[in-house]
Amino acid sequence: MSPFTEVGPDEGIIDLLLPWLDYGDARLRSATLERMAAAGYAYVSLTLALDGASLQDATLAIGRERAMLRNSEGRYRLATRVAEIRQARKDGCLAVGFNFQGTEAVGRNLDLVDAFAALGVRQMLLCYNQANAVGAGCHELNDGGLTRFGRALVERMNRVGVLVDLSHTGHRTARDAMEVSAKPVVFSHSNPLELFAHGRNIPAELARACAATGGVIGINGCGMFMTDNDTSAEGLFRLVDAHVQSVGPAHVGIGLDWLYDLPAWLTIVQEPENALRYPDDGDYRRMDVRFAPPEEVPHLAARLRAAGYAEVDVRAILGGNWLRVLEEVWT
Amino acid sequence: MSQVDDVSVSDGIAARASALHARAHVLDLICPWIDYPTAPRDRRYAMIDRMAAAGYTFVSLTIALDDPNVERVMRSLVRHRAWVLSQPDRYVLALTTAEIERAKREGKLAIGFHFQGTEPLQRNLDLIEVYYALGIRSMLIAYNQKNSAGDGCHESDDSGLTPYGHALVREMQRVGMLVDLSHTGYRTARDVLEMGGGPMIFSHSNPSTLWAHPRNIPDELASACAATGGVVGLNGCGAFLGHNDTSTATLIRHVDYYVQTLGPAHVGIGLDYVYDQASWHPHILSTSVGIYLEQADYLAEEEIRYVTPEQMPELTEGLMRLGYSDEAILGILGGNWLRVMRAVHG
Repeated sequence: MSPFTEVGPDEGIIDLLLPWLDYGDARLRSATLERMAAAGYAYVSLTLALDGASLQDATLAIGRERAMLRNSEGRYRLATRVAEIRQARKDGCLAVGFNFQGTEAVGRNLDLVDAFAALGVRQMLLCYNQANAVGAGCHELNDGGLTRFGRALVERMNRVGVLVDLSHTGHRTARDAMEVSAKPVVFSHSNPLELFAHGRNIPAELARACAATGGVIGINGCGMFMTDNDTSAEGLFRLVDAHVQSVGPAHVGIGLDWLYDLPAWLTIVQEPENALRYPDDGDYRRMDVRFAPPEEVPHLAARLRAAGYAEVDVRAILGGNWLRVLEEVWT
Repeated sequence: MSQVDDVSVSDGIAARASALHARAHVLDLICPWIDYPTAPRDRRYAMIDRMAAAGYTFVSLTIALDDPNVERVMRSLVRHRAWVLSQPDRYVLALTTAEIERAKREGKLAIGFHFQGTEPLQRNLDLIEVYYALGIRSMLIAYNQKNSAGDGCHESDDSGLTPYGHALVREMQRVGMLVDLSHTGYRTARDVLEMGGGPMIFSHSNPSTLWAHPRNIPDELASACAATGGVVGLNGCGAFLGHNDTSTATLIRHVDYYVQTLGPAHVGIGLDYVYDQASWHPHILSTSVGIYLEQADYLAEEEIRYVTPEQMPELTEGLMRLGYSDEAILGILGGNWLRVMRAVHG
């Protein structure tokens, strides 16, 4: 019996961030969702586009992945409502949603928010590391805050039911978005800056502002954003516990950012066109970086319980908190 | 028409026709709507309201021709989708026949979308389901010219449906996207019809027997279409009706020909009403060389005329005067399209 089975197999793990761009070994890719289902996942959000992807790129990716789900013989299913996530769990299949890490596929056309939402994209990061029409990414030199277009975009996302995700976004832009948003916002995969200083991590003050919207902060399983590249259950536990100290157990979740083909990814990161997207001061080109795999999450659950976390809090962190936010945003 | 009016007062047919038209589901699956820089948008939006006023229940708007630019097509699609959704008191984005029927009950105009062509797919069949999810419900296989799937009706030779085209039709059928064969080459159309797999349509193709024109179709193709359970729509363009004659009497002559040839359950109307030819023709000719054959009357000095939406009530009355049953008329006005749509996409 896996550690997770003891904490409640019915709800399952919710992970709001799995990079699912068309990269790497197709066999590793196709095994990924199977591994997640086996590890006790109920829902995972797949990234189909980063900033830089065109409207056409994003549309083709959506077509490709909708076909993948359709051809999965019922193993995976698109979910755009929490009730559908729960139903999929009951039916023994993994629910899947789509996200964009960035908003450039939308360009400056707000009607595309509606169209992409209708196709299953119910979560978008505002910016991905660099500046775009909406605001600044977290690796920019300056952050002028949310633009006029960005404000309209957040309002449209609220109205249509698209989750506003502030990971990778500049801190001032993120703060502005939190003020504009009428719905809870999230950091799907952002670790505590106080634990490890990195441009991708966020200060407790920003995490608290997110929690104040009713939102949730997901821990990231990438070793680059952790102390000593320690992606063990112990390393993950330290991330969760630090966030919990800032915002309480009702506002922490999981967004592993797991790369199913790490060597392929590291090759992409080293391409010259990605030099500014992944700047040197972010240590993105260290070749020994580790990522916590989906199978580590049940061990994290066990570690939380060993540390004295209440059962109800463990379940909330593993998925319940995300479900609460999605329930509020998607309807 | 004044003579007809005088008679109608005495025989009561006008009143019966008017009542029948009011309760009919009037559908047009081919309303030209493409965005182009010089399009007079006021006239385009006015056309929709004219159609609603003329008793239309549902119109399908052309979002793109054989345009291989996914980005441009997506932008056009989302703009018009947003436009329909922004006026819920007047329009319904109708994705099912049940929604069309509901719109009729609520006194709103139901609107759907289609492509006149298949190039918006860029040979990526996964996009059929994506466009379908956003409201596209029919695609015609090729628009006048050759494309990846097959030939258009204006090519000098027609090499038939390609292997890609075969896979395309099968995926359309799986998704529930209506296969439209208007504008498609005869051999390509025949190849598609021979595939079977459900009702198919010619949304707007007149009989070549009545007027020889490459956009019109031989009886053999119309009959093969009817044999799938499908419907052939009459086009209101003067170049295809012949002699640029867009009188209701001439439209009725074309309708009656198909009714005699195919039976009333396989005939519909697809007016193809171009709301501003003065700007459309220069645009399409300058951006798509060879899309219209010079020898095919498109570029005659006289401007091509179109049957107007306002003539539809006259059509109803005219068919009644020919002795058509109410059931046959209801089918021709839109019931037959509804039957096919229900079978193909629900």
